[in-house]
Amino acid sequence: MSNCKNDRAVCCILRQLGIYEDDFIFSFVEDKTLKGISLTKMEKEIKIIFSERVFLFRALGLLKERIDEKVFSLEEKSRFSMNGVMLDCSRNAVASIETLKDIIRQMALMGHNTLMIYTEDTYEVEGEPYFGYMRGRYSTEELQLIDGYAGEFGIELIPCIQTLGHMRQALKWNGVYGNITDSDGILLIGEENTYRFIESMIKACRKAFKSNRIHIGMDEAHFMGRGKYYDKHGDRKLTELFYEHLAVVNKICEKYGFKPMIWGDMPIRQAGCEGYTDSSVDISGLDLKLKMPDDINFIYWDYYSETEERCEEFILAHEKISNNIMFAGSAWRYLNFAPNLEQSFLSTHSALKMCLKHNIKEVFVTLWGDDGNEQSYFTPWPVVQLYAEYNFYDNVSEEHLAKRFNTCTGGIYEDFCTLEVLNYPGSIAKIKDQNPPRYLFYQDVLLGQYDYYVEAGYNSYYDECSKKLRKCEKRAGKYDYIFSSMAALCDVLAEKSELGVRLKKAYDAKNFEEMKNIAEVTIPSIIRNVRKFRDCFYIQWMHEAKIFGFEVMDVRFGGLMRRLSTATDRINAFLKGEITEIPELCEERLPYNGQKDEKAVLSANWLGIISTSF
Amino acid sequence: MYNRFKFSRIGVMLDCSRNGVMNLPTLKRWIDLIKDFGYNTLLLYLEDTYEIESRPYFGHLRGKYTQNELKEVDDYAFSKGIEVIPCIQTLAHIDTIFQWSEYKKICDCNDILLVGEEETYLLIDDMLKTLSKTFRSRCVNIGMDEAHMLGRGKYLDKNGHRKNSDLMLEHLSRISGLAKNYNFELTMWGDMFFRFLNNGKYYGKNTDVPKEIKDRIPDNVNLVYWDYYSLEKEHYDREIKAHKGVKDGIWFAGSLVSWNDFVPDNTFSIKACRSAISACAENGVSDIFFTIWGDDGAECSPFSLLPSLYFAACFAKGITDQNIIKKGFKENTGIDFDSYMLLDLPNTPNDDEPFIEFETYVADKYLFYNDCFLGKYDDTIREGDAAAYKLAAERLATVNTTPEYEYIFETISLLCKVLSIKTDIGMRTRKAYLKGNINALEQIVTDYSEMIKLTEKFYDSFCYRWMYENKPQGFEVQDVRIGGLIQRMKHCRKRLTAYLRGELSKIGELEEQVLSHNGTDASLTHEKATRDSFNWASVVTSNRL
Repeated sequence: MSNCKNDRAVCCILRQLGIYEDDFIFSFVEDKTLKGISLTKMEKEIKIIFSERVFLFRALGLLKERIDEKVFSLEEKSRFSMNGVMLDCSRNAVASIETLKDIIRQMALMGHNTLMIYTEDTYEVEGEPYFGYMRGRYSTEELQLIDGYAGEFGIELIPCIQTLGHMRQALKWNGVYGNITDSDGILLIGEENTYRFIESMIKACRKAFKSNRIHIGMDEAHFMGRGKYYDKHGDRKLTELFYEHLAVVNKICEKYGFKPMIWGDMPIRQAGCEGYTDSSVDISGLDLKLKMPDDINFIYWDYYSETEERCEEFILAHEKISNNIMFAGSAWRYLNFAPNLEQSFLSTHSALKMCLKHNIKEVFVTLWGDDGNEQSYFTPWPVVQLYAEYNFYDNVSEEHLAKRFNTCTGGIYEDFCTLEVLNYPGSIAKIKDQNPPRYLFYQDVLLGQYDYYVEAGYNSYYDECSKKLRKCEKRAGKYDYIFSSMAALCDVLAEKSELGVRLKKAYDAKNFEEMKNIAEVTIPSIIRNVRKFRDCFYIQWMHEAKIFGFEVMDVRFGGLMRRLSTATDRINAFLKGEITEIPELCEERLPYNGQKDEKAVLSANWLGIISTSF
Repeated sequence: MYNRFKFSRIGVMLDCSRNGVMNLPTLKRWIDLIKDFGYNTLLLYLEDTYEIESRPYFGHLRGKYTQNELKEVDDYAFSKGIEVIPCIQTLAHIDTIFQWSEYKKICDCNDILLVGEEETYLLIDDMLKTLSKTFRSRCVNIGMDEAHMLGRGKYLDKNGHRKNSDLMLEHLSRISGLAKNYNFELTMWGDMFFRFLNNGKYYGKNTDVPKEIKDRIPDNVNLVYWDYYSLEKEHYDREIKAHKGVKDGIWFAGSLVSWNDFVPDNTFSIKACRSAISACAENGVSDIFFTIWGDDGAECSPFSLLPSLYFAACFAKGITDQNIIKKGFKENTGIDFDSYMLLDLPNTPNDDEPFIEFETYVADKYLFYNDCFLGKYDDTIREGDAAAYKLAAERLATVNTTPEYEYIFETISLLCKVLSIKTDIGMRTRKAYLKGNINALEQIVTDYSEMIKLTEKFYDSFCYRWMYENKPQGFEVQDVRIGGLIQRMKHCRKRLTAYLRGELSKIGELEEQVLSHNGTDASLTHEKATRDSFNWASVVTSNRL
């Protein structure tokens, strides 16, 4: 029998769950042969047997759910050997230490045993002052602290870095890294200095992490070998180049006691599948002869495929290359303020079912934050919960998921799902890779790049959303700042969504009264609401992340407010006769990027939303 | 200095593709002005800012000229005896169209068109057809400069490795053929021929273009030797000979330096033009023009370049006496020449005279956008820089201008006023914060307020400048930049205030050590950033914008 008072992590979780340790007699037994959890409650006696430490915390959560039952017992058999989360800390936002600790506790309750913090250049590397400069990089001490904290909960913290592409943030310092840059964020393969640099990164990871595994990235290096490499060495077969580079990096990893894993897209792309992320591409005829070395884990990542057949097809392709396949899915939180749970659930179900069928034992869910990390780290957590439940159950009902979510995160499942409805104003169909809240928020009122899709009723839709979210906010507890910020966004959209259409209509009809109203009433009101949203969003950001990177949000919000004022100025100038026309409003509203049959689209990056000039 | 060589063409090229598209009333005023100065050709640089029928996404929302507008400009210029020549792009520098999937198909990589693809030639034919309909001139500049990664993207995937010179010549031959259908004579920027020989560099050591390349340059194509960087006549002599060696009949393009910031560098431009023009005269290059580029947002008014615009015209006419030129300038513009030259000041306000060097600087822009807390460019700032901006603002404010050009001086004077506070406010903030000097921080908070007020004033003036000279499209980018800056200043002030009130225990940004902006040396060298070393996005953040 163990005394839980000596176990800081257990005490912490019990406190979080509101279970008083003195009310019960606990007995915790670790038994590796069990592969899961066995939990028994006999009045005050509670016995938990677990095969790995993190399951102890999951069991405590399960206990909490049935604490009022006098006697019960349950067993859960785990099917994955690794089940984890990857958190993006490189897209301007860098999660704060408190957030990471919070995430670790939630993961423990869920039973996730692995955390990866995606750090392109946001970790300290000795002798490289420009690496992560002014980006809020983690110091080695911070990482050690998190590593230790995760360890207390039985969670392995695995470094997740880049050693080929996606290095734009570091390599932009061309005075420092110019000589090891191939082109466009890609490291120059075959160069002594490149490997020295990679070695210092891996050495830094060794110092900060206890894990013997490392994720070395290597995805989407589309232009590998085409820049300085090409100048120096001419045309090379990309596959050879890739494997050569991998072999060298692998050796460095080995030297520091790391077993690497890499993203799987590059070898598959090189085998002929350019559209790794395009679910319509035919992958039956791929040339998959080259084998991945056995000591490297090969990650099949897929955030898009909606059917089991498609996932299976991809798994088979990856299996031809490697015997050590892992899977990474997605809790969609990039390029949008609101989560896309439907898409995430759909792809999770089909992918994890196929992983189980094909005996893929290691899976994790990614929380990417591309283009500025505008979404809370927590909004897509129902998906993270789903991953946890898949470890034990084939069919996870929504009811089950909701209950577990509430236990592990303290959030109300239904309310978190409400956040998603921001994606579906008007007749927009669910489950699509699209982001109306983002383009409706940022798009320019005068240029109306996305006005083609705007339907009557968007405004009132968001007005309703705001009301719903305000209700959620009241009962959201520690997550109230998320609902408050999303409600504030809806308040903007409740006037701004249809504004461009309304303005153009008034302009075309020479309805000066309406134009005056827009300039004097509507736009000032929108600006006030943007400011409110900005303030709420700042609170959200500071709740979860370091301050660095928020300067980008200042530019985005400040730019939008300034731009709205300009719209007022120009309407007024027109009404006063100082200008004879507003040329922006004379332009035809084309569908975005020629997509004329869609109800909504996935917009460009931020700058592309506000302008077609850069 | 040189014999009175008669240039057959003296032109000026306006950049209408870097967000700023000059509006028609202003363009007509510009035509009147260059006519008075003695120019006979106007070149319009149009990447995607002209209307092509049935291609609505070409220049979509970019303020592109309609065909009727271009005809109107051509008619007007014709009535003044000015030839209008379109300068387009048919190889690289056409990235704005690649944001649309319709054109992404014919993108090789970066900003480069996919050579050898039929779809590409359909587009180029549409371009030429449009120009043929809208302009009287039978001359078109087809661009083709700086296509550094030619053949390395989709082309390489599809066709394997090919020599880039072969690719370009094949491409050129196709375009030359298309142009013949419209009786177009073509000019193209000449750099690629030399880049092939010098590891991508222009003006390199190797100038001996192989015969098999020379022989393949079509007869209806002439090279434009362009050079914006040198003050040495010998350099121009050498390069002219090199270009002539490739194919005789070259044109020369110099520069009235204006790209990447708010203010001109007339001083450098005049010296460079003088050397270039005399080299052209001595070597018998009879078609010359001067470019006014607007890279990174067209923030500099073309009208701020009148001193060098006038000087260049005078040189080309054989007038070299400074006093005569200055007198003529005053007669033409109503403003004293030396006063007009003060617009250069914000580049180098705190430099010893003469500040002309071999590099042109753009301190005004990176200091304006340098973040108060992150201080990426703090290392460039020297003692006295802020005070020098104060002085510059005063000097600019007292210039005896005319109603026509008053707004230009006002804008730049206001910019200097902002910089008189903003230049070192970040350094002062950091210093006071690290020393725990609360009194100093309290004082600095009031400076933030004053700076914000001045920036708003500058914005108003800049907005007026833009709308007066340009079409409104493209200004949305300026709204974002300046609006973003103001919001950021307010945020920094708010964080400072919160810190002073004890609501914030620390300001993490200010605890970071500032490194040098270019990464050459972690110690602070006070070295200025050079004109081409940055853009707006890289100044405001170390993150991804």
